[in-house]
Amino acid sequence: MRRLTDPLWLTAPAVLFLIAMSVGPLFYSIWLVLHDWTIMTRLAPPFVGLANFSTLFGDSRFWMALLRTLLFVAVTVGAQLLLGLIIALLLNRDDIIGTRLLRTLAIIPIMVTPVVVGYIFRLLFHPSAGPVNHLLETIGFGAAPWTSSSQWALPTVMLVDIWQWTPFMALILLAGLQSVPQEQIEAATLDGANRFQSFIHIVLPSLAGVIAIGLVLRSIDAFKLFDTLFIITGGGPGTASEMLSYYTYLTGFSFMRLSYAASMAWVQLIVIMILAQIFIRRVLFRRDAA
Amino acid sequence: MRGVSTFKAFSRRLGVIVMALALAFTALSAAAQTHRGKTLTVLVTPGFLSKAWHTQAQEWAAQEGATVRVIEVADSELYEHMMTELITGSGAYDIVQYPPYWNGDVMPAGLLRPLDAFIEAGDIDWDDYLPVFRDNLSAWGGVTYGVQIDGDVFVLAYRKDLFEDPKEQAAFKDRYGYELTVPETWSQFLDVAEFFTRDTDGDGVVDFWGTADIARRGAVSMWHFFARLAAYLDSPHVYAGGIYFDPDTMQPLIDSPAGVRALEEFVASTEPNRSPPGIQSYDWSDVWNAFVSGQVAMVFAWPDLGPLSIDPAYSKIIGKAGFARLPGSYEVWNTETGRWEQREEAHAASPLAWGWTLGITSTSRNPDAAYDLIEYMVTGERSIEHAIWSDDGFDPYRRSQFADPRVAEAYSQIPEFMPALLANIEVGIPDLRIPGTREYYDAIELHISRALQREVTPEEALRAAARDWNNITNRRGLANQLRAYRDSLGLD
Repeated sequence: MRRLTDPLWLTAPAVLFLIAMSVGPLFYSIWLVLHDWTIMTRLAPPFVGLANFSTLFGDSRFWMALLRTLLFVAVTVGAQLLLGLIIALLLNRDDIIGTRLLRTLAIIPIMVTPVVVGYIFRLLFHPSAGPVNHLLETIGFGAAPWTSSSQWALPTVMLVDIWQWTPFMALILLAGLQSVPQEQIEAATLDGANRFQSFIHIVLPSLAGVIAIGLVLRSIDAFKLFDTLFIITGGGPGTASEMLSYYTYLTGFSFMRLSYAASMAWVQLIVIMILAQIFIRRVLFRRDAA
Repeated sequence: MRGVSTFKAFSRRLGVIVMALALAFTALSAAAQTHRGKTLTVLVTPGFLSKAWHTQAQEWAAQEGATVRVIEVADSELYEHMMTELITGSGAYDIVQYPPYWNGDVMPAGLLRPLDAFIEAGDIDWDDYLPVFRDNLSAWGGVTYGVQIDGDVFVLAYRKDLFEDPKEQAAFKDRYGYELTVPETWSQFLDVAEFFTRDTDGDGVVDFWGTADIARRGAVSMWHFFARLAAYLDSPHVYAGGIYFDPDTMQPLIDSPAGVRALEEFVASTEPNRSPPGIQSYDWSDVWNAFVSGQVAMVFAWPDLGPLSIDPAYSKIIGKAGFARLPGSYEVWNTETGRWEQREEAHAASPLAWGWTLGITSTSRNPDAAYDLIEYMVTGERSIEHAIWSDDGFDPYRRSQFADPRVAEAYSQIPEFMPALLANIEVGIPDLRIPGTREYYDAIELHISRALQREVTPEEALRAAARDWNNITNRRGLANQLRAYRDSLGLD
């Protein structure tokens, strides 16, 4: 007979809550994928097995959206890492005036709700009333078709994402930089290493863990991008900026094809898990092994 | 002393009488308040479209001793929010305000209550409703499920001052060989748009354009295609909404020669010699703004442009706007003969794009009260206010609104406005109203967008759109979709 103070009883409510809130929907999504849920069939959705996945494999719009999403993740997270690292190195220097203020200001873009960011940039990039085009025309460049051209739409959304999330990457890299052992750098300097060599052989390896965490967090987040895309381009023109999250949203909530949308969500989950595993194994485990 | 006691007795009696009268009045008022203590929850979109619910509906609530809660959900999230609540049977709402092109999703699925018995017993004066709003947009399978509160239709808005300028008229005739008038055909529309596109201040940069279309994907750009398609397409059921599919086979009509010509002209309309730069990202608000800020000579859009054009807070063209029926075509593609044919009068059509329907949810616990509230909202002074108010988003939907002198007085600065609305409603084309309409609309918008980007030709775009439409139809069941489509046309 277990007593009420046993750990099992004490943790049971939390465990049950966790099961209900996370595992429950997961199983429901599996059930959805295996059935054909629509408005008309909602009371008794027919079992369709893996038909939703076979439809998915023939859906060129889905695959194009996936490719666009992977491109978006690669470009935005890559740029955020590079720019974030440069900013972090600058903010880490004590000989530059105002670094404390800059660190505080850097948080602002992260704190703004993505929907608000979307509306701000939609207005900024407005073809005729937007201040960005006005500025470009004033200084002698022509107006750019930020959101109205299929060549520009996706890079515009990338630009906004880079603007918003580079500070995040900079801040976590800055935290990593401040924990780099100074003794090693000083010892390397005494042994004749220049600043670049110290950076490559001491600073960068020390940052590997932080970089991996930053890459994983940002990649997962970028993969799921929805709000700013929804507001700025709405996936257009055509499907030029349509990414997986937006297509899934349309399918599930605009076309009410919940089963098919659930199969898309599962593919997204698998891709994100693979991406996360790559980052974690390649960077974190390699570092631990070293 | 006797006089004092008499006065006291009189006062006491008077007090008793006053109290008795007050109690009787209260009791009578309570008896008249058939919905006393009831609470109704209404789902609407925020901003100007909720104004009537925060004012008129609250008057009804005060009269009835009831409570009306207004829940506002953004336009872009309304569908998923409403459908989630209706499908799960949460009972969160008694009344939902939604556009009738969702009828195919909500009406046959049993998510709304049939209203015929209420209408039969009520005082809504159904005959006062303009037929298309009453018969086409409110019913499914012969059963009425909705009541229109907004008579949306496209109207052509143009710069009357420019069109009536003798210098402009002479210059136009010199260039195009015919008189400058409000365009009667879509071909003339292109000429006029091209003519007015110019550099007005002589700095070498074009700063005034002929027109502006809704061209952004996801911003209901398909209606700017349908407006042209309906003018070129002649079928027996055009004015019932028969421009989308063949009602016998469910084959799409969008990729017909009429469709190709419509999209070619839509694409031509967005050329830099007719439309402002960045037109492909213009949504409806950009189009409205372009017109009332004096950047373009003409646009076609919702009737809200009328009140906006005379509102000093928004308009730079007060007194300069004229309104007319949308252009048509003397040449039409006859779907029955499969040939282009000439007509003696321009074949005109105007999409009854969007609009707002009120429905009572099947889970409402107070359907009687909900219907009484709907009836209150769409009748009497409220409907006149809808026609007069510039900031409520509800456009005329009843005959009495067009006949009321107060409405004419409200638009005395733009006397053509109300007649133009009626002229467009008379040739109104109802939206597609079958299950999955949003999916069909997404597909056509996507391919229109590609054509507007010049990624594909109009013909290729429409062929691809028709292929997508067929896929959607087959996936949802050809027989079901055909039955629904024919029903929406009033054929079965």
